[in-house]
Amino acid sequence: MPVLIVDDHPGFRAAAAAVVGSCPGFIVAGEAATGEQAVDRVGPAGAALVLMDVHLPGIGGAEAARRIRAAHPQVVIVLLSDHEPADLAAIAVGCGAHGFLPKRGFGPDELLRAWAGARPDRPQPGRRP
Amino acid sequence: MTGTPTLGEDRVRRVRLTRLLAYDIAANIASLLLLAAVWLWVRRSPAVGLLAGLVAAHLLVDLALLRRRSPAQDRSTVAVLTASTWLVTLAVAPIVPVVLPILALTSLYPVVLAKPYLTRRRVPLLACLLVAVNAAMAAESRLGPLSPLGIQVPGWLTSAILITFTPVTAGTVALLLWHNSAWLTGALRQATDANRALRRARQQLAAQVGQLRASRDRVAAAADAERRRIQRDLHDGAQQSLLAAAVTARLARQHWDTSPNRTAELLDRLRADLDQAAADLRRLACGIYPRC
Repeated sequence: MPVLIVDDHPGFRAAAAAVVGSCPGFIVAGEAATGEQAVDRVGPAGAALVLMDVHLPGIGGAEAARRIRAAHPQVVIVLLSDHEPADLAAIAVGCGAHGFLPKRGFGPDELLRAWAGARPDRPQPGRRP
Repeated sequence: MTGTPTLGEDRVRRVRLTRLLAYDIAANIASLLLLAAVWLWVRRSPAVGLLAGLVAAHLLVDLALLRRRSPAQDRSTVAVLTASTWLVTLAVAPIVPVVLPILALTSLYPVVLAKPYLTRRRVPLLACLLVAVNAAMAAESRLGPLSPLGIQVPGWLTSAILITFTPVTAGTVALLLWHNSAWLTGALRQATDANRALRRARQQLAAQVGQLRASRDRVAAAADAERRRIQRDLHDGAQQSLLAAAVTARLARQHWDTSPNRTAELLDRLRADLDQAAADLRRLACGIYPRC
């Protein structure tokens, strides 16, 4: 499952990439540091899942999610932020994201659960052994 | 009594009162000197001593009133001065009946003085009291020659006193009115100037208050901007590095049992994340206080 990681902090992008790499069936298809880069790269990267930070330079994560949803409706978008969960849920609903994950406690299990919750109709990749 | 005076009116009244007390003191001293002359060269009688005592008592009252400094006491000062003056004139009338015209004029002193301190409602009362005092003095002067205290003054001295002191006393009243009026004009001009200066000072003060408010708003805005910058730096820097470190540590723990090599890679990354967080915090601290 190709994943596009969108975060302006290189350290967190690396940590998220490690998490993605630890999930069986998931690979890192690309990275982006801004919302504009995410919109531009999601198609060429062939991403099926976008892990999107909310706080981004430029148009921001929420607006980028809206544009990706409009251009690529099949792509699953999961917001990733250090907001409080209630606030994050409201932002996700507002921009049409499929799910959200707090950065605190982000790991392979959480990513797999978010993917399953976001696209229950899709074939589920295998769990981490 | 009158309502709350303005700054200028208050000053006018204060000076008027002080001036009148000074006139009265001078008149009393002159009377004492005259009585001393009568005692020494004309007639040594108990009545002359009694007169001197009355004048001296009034002089002491004047001096005591002159020492009062609080403007709040001015009204009671006027009341005491009026009562003292009238009591002295009432006491002198039967002793020296021939000076009745002088006493009548003297009784006008406090009326001239008291006017600024009176409401319109009190003026008829003062007028009635003035008429009553003068009526009593006239009656006493008719009884005076029969009084055992009455002074038998030689005719030439009576004429000299009346001819001299009647116009002098009347002139003093007129002078007092003229002086008060002249001073009033000057004092009102000063008060007007003072009010104008005060208004200018208030305008300057208002402008300075406005500048101070604007300065305070700028300082508050700068402080808010600085707080927002620190919050943004913390969020975008150290907080993200620490979150990445937490994610990496969690991942390393999951690989601990199954993949030592992967765990080692993750621990290296964890160390890098923590180093980055420390560097971010150091930069932020230097931004807050440069001498770090």
